[in-house]
Amino acid sequence: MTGLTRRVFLVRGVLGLFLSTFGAACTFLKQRAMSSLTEEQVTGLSSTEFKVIQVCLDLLIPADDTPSATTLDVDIQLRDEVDVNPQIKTTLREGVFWLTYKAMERGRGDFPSLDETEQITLLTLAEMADQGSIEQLFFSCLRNRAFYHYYASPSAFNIPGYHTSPQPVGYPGHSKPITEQP
Amino acid sequence: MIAPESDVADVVIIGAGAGGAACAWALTQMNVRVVVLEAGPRFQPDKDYMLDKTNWEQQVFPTCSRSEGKYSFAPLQKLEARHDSLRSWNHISGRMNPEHVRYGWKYHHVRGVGGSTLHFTGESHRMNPQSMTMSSRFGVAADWPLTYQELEPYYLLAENCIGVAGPDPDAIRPRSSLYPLPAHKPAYASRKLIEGFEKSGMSWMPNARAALSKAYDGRPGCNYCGNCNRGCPRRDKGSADVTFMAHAAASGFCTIKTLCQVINLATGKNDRIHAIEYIDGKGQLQRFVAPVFVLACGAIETPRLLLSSQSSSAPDGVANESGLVGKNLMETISWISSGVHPENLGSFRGLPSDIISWHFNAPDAIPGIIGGCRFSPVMSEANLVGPINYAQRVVKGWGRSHKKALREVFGHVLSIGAIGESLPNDHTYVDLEPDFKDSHGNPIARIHSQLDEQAIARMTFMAQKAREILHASGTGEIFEEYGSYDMFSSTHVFGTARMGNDPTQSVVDRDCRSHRWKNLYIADASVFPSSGGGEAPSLTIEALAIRVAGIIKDKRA
Repeated sequence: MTGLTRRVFLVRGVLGLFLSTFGAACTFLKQRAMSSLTEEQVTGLSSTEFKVIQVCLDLLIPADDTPSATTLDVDIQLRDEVDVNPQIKTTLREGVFWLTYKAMERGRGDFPSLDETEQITLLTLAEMADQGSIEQLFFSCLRNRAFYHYYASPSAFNIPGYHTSPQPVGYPGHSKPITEQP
Repeated sequence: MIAPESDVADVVIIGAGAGGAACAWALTQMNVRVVVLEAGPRFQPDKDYMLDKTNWEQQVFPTCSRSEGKYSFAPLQKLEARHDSLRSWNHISGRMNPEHVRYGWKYHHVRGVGGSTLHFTGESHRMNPQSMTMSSRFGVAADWPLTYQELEPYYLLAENCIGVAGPDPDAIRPRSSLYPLPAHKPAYASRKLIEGFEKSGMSWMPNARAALSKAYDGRPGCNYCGNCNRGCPRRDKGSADVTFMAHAAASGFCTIKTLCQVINLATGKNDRIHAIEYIDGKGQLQRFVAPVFVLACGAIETPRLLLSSQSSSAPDGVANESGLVGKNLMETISWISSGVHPENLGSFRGLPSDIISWHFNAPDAIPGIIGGCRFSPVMSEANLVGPINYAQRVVKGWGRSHKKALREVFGHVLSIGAIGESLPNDHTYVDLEPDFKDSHGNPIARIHSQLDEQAIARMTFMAQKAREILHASGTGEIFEEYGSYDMFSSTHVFGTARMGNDPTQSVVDRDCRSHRWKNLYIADASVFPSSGGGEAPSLTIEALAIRVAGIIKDKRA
């Protein structure tokens, strides 16, 4: 099985409430299972959830010659977006829950506690999961939003011939090869 | 409290888009007093468009709550496995519509001074004369009740006001005078598509564009930033606000009232519209009495207003004596294929759709299929001109390898777009949504759409040809395609208040005047009897609107 369906996911969550003694994950499971919270009633990401998102963001966009995602405050921008978009909030929250569950399967308390290789493995599993599964939706959403915020920064992308904003200079040399772009 | 306003306008125009603005301009040139009521806001190019910001790519055209009208979709058709080659897909995200029913995505439009010309690419096309006699030649759609030759002088007036930059004259669309400005030089990336056209045996030419190839009429020449659809802060794009409407306002004969939504056409005696009722910017109900009214709200909103303006003398809505208001809707039939070229073309540069192939544009040009199509480069329209969309859609994966690959592939994308003829059918129309109302309690438009077998066959041809052209251009594997088969996504809409000579088969006559209501004219694409083989409609709308202005003036005299 490459991905959990929503129904199986929720059932395991409820079971986790009674069987698990692990700290933050248990608290989250308990809250999730005990109430039928609507998206509107859930407010923001918790600090625990946010930490998971931050780790994921820097895996998706690590530093090389250009900064990592969190260095350019992609995490903050995403958190601001989540605060006003219940759909993204739910998708990310359920993905965080999946990652936490998977970390617990590996004997760790949470996703950030895993070493980077294991984190990349889980993220790859999410990426390759069936289209429409919780983890695949989470991965697609996070990837999409991460790039949306990251590549809006002038520090993220700078290559010869490309202006970080199309105006006011434009591309008067558009009819020439890019190597001849003034 | 309704505050009556009278004797302050000779003509009231509803809508400040391509048609309304062009009509206002032409009337004011003849010293006719005009009031234009526009439901949307006025955009300020210097402030509202994002192209000088580093986060420019995050938004296409700026929107606010008043800049888009409300509408709904009726259930759309089931999708069939035999047409799977027409499904929209991306190599990273998979099928864009994973369901088995066509998805009602969007009627792309802008409400505001300038209307949808604010976010248009700016193609300035004349109709192919052959596309104006579809009924008598092919038994489909309807014939235009006027000829290309009758419209030609008005095309010229519109082109000169805008400053259209176009190629040398061609035999298909005869001209009495050259374009006011020379054609633009093709972008370097477009030269690859020229190779593709030529290797595919297709003719091509520079596209006629409402973007200045040099300074004209106090506006600067284009600097080829490649983002016409995001709004032009320089005003070199000839949207209706900086051309027709600017001149109309400067004449002293035109008043433009924004954030004014017309909700009713009030009928009077002697088959005349007595007044219009509208909600002003402060939310107050107002009434405007005038001798003449011109409706220019577009092919979705014009029928909505007509249908909802019911009274004892117009129980089925104003101008709906034929029962054809809202019927004969023609939508945008389109296809885009995108691939990565091995060479760094810098394809984020240059004027969008700067070249065009009309090779298959004539109604009988595609073997076995009635209705033509055209092809042009659409990297900008496909929103593949910046790093965000490259990262999301073009480059697979994530991590350091993704960053590296993005830097290597940026500027390599080639996108070819096709737009084809849309023919009317009984299942594609606009009516009033029974379940939802707008914020003023009025019914909104409901869009019904069904693609018939001819439309699907035309799209199949367009898709096959697009792939062939990309391959011939030297492009590698295609990474994304999307089209109208599995999504309703229309910018160009037509036909819902068709013009014609027979009052039982049309809504307005050849003068674009209601057959019954003697002081009501329509100046938008709802009057089109046929859509053309992919021509962008704005220039034809403007030409018709300018002609309407002349007719109104003559009747006043």
